[in-house]
Amino acid sequence: MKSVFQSDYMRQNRRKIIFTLVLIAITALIAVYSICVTQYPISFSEAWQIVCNNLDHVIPTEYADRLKSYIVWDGLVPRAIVGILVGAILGISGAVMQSTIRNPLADPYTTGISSGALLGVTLFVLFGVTIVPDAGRDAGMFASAFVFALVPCAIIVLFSVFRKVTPTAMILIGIAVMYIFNAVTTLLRYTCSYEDSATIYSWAVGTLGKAGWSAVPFLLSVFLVLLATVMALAGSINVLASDDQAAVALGVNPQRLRIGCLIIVSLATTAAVCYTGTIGFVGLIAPHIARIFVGSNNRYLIPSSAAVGAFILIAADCLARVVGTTGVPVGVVTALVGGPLFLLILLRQKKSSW
Amino acid sequence: MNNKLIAVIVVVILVVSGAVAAIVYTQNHSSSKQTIYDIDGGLEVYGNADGDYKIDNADVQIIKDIIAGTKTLVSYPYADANYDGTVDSDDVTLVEKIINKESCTVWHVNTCSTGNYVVSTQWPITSAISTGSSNMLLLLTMAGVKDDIHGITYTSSSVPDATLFPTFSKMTSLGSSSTAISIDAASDTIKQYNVTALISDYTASTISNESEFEAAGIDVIRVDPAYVDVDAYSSQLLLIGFLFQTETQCLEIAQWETAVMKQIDEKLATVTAKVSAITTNGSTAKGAWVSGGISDYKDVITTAGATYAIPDAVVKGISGYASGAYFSSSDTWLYNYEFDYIVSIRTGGWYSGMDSSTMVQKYNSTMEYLTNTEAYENGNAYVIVGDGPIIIRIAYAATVLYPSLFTEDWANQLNQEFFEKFYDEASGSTVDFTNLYFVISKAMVDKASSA
Amino acid sequence: MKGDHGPDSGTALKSDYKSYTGRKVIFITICAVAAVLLLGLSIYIGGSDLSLGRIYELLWHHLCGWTYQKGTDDFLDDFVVWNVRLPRAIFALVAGAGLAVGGVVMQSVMKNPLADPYTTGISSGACLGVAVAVILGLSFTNAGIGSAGLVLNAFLFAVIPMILIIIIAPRAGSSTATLILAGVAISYLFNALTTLLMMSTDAETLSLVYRWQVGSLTNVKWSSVPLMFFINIGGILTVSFLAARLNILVLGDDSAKSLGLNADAMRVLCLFILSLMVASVVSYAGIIGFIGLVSPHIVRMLIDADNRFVIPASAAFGAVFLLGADIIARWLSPTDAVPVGVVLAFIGAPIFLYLIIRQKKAIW
Repeated sequence: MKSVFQSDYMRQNRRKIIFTLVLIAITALIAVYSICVTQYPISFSEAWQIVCNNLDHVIPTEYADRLKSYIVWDGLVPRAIVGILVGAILGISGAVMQSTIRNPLADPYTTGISSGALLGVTLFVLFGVTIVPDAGRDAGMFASAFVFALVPCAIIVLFSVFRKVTPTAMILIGIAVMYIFNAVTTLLRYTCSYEDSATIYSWAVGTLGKAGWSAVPFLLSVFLVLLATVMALAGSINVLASDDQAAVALGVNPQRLRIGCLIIVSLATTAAVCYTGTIGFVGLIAPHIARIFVGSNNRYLIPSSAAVGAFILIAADCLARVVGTTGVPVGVVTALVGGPLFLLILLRQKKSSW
Repeated sequence: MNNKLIAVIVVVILVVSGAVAAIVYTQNHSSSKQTIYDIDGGLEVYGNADGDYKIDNADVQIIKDIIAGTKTLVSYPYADANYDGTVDSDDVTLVEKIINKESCTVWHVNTCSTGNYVVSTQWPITSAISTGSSNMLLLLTMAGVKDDIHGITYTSSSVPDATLFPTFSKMTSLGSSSTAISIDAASDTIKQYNVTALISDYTASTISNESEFEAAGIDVIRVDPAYVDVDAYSSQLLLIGFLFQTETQCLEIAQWETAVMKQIDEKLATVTAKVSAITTNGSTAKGAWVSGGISDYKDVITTAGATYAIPDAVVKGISGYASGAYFSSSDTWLYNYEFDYIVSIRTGGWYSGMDSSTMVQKYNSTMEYLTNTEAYENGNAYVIVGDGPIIIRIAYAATVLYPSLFTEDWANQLNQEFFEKFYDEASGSTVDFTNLYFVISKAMVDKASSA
Repeated sequence: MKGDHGPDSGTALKSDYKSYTGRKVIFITICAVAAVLLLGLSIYIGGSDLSLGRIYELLWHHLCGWTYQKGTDDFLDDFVVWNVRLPRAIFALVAGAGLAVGGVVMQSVMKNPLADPYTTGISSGACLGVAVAVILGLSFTNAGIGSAGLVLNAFLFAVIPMILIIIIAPRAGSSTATLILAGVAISYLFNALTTLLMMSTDAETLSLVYRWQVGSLTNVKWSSVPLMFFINIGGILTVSFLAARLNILVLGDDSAKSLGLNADAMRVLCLFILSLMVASVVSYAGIIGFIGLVSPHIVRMLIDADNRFVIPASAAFGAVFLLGADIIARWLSPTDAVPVGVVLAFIGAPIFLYLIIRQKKAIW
């Protein structure tokens, strides 16, 4: 015979699970509809037909049909998939970051990933520096961004391993490293040609347009590994989110767990941003929104942050595609919507979830 | 609570008064601006009363007539040679000084993106520095003044082409970008060569420290070296020629270009159905920059007789000022417009000779994001020369758009004629036209790739 | 009670305290002397090759009222020294002092070691102002890069976040965390609008606006100095008078009340002054980072955290820091290819890193 407590508790949990599932369903619907959202007139049924044709390997002959097939199958379908995956990765990373660093302002880029990746991209655009030579314009850029993005994180980890550092000190180290990277990047960007400067700037804003089918298997595996790992650690992260001393008392090594989480999150986020650029806000806001509905228990927070992140990104992308006469990159929409939303969340927050 | 209110009120007062002060300041300034009249194809120097291409006794006569009362300043706005608002004997003296080639101060029009204005310049100019865009260097070289320019500014990624500008490519840059010259860095050059003038591009953001240069005693002259309209370009050329006293050369070029343009216009008048086209000036990882709106590149295409397929409103976007928009692999807006041709105008290396792989690379990198357009699929995508004078670019564009009316041989012959007559001697290097080509077509690229 | 009350312990205490205070005075003196020396060095370094003797000759003659004819070498040399290098050096000194003091004040008001003068979003406001002026062409006067209209736009738009924060401050009450977050959110919003404008324009305009943002003293002339000079010197002096009260503010609102200080009003006043100071610097020079964040920390680690000394000491240190960085930047590239912010970061970040690692006692 269950007590009132128990049945209440289970009902609450069920509500949380339902919320997450409903959100996933909505996101999936938006993603499916998004294959016809673009500035070129294609109806949903046409787009659906194109998807089926491509799955059956039917190749159209007319130029107009080939164009539509190219737009939908080579452009919008992988874009929707990448949007969901990247949004989910950013959402999870943001949630983990905020819990382990115990700071509501933490986002996936807190370990300096954005400045590292920007430097990598700058070096590539200006000098062709990459670890994957002759791989074409985009692949080389992805590789550069990936490698350099991890350097600030590696430095933080190194310092943390050799000295005991508080979470705040970790952030400070991250900031110092970020300053140096930004300085180098600024120096290079200050005197480069106008086109290069504009290219680098727009990469930093973040867009989903560059990732094609080649990104999908990679991102999918990254997402699955991230989700599995983090869910397994969810209980320990819960403990970490309260207090370091409480963590030790409960048998968790806070230092090691924190570093471990940072590494995992950094790797996953880097994998995501090297394809899309540093899309802001999703990783910051998704956990906050999720927290409003499911509370701070990481076992529920993490999956729902993933769902919220995916939802935000795909919705923002749909909006970004049709704004103005030529569309804008998705990073602009997330920033414009995210800023006021964040302020709203802050101001309305009565009870402190911290 | 009271303190806060006070603070906010103080701030508001500060802000408002600041704004009012600024507005008042502008009002004062704009009321002193006088209307400046365009003389298309003429010398825009005050004292050139009859608006032709030179200052001579005919102008003196007109000024004397105005003093006498038989003509009015309103009909001959350029008669006020010393730009003081009245036409009197001082104007006559000044014009006579100019005719006798004595040193004096002349008044002329500076072309500027935020509005033309009138400045005074120490005349004649024998030593100057300049901004280093390739259009500017082209203008200065063809005007025959390259030896008078002792310093230029450019970015490390846009070093002047060695074939077209053998002297300029060897100069060290005086600034960190092609739009700014640091007075401190330039002062050694200025002292060494007794520089009295700075020739700058017409965009207002170029040489933003113009007033500093003027205060330091360096006259700043602004021209637009990228005018597509032949008459407007001629005015700029004549101005440089006048200031540096290479008038004969400049007049010859202006007349030659006008004749070529007339030739093109006559042939274009026979066209019944215009073709439509778009132009790009290259791609970066951000996408292809498709020109439109106020772009000079677009003007080349329309002057060569095509209709431009993208309406201005499309590229205006948010800023309302636009010379184009990016089109990347994930964009679809371009597919909404029908155009027969893509004519891309690119700079770099045309006159030094391009080997096969460079040609293929140039073409493919330009067309990278446009491969799904109908024009590209039909093989009507071309890359043409962007170095060299603008009239030549117009000619090559015309050969691509209307191959039945304009042959490539004709354009090549014009190109060679220009260099032999006007450029080789002025630049100090002779361009060898064997094995040079100025149009890259899809067919050429396919052939080279499969070979 | 333990401890001597005899004359011996009293003297020991006094001499301890004296040497303690002495250290602070020495620090400030060293900075002041360094500032003067660097001023001289700054006029010497530059693209034009002028010997030290020539420079002093020019300065002396100018002060005596000599003028030269336009077009002569003397005129140009005098122009370079007096109208190009000198205003830049003076601007660097005053701006550095102002930004450093702004950092001190912000860190005290926000009770947060990571705060810098731009925490309330002023830099984002200025950037938006510039973007609006250049890209949209909306401004009170003709605003090209480097023109007076641009400065005015940057200043006006920088003031908007200040007004927003002043309005929010009473609502945030004693929770400085909310205030910081509000500042962050405002920054995000303005940055988003700026990004929207930047992405809608062509490469050249985007690059020009970006270069403005980076922060450099290249466009500084005499006309840039007066407004910034008066606002910053006035601000620094005012804040120095309020220093004791700032100490109390850091303790918390309750302690403040019991000590007779109206914390809300104090906070608003401080934010107001510091915003004006920062806005005046940023409008002319772009976003010069680092000084506001790092100078107070360095000073606190070398002396101690009492605001009565930290403020003048930071001012002196900030002045020297910025001027020194500008000298290095110009020495590296006479054509101004190295913005001063880059040099600041390269010098400051390693120092900052070192200080974090070395920190035994917690300042915060």
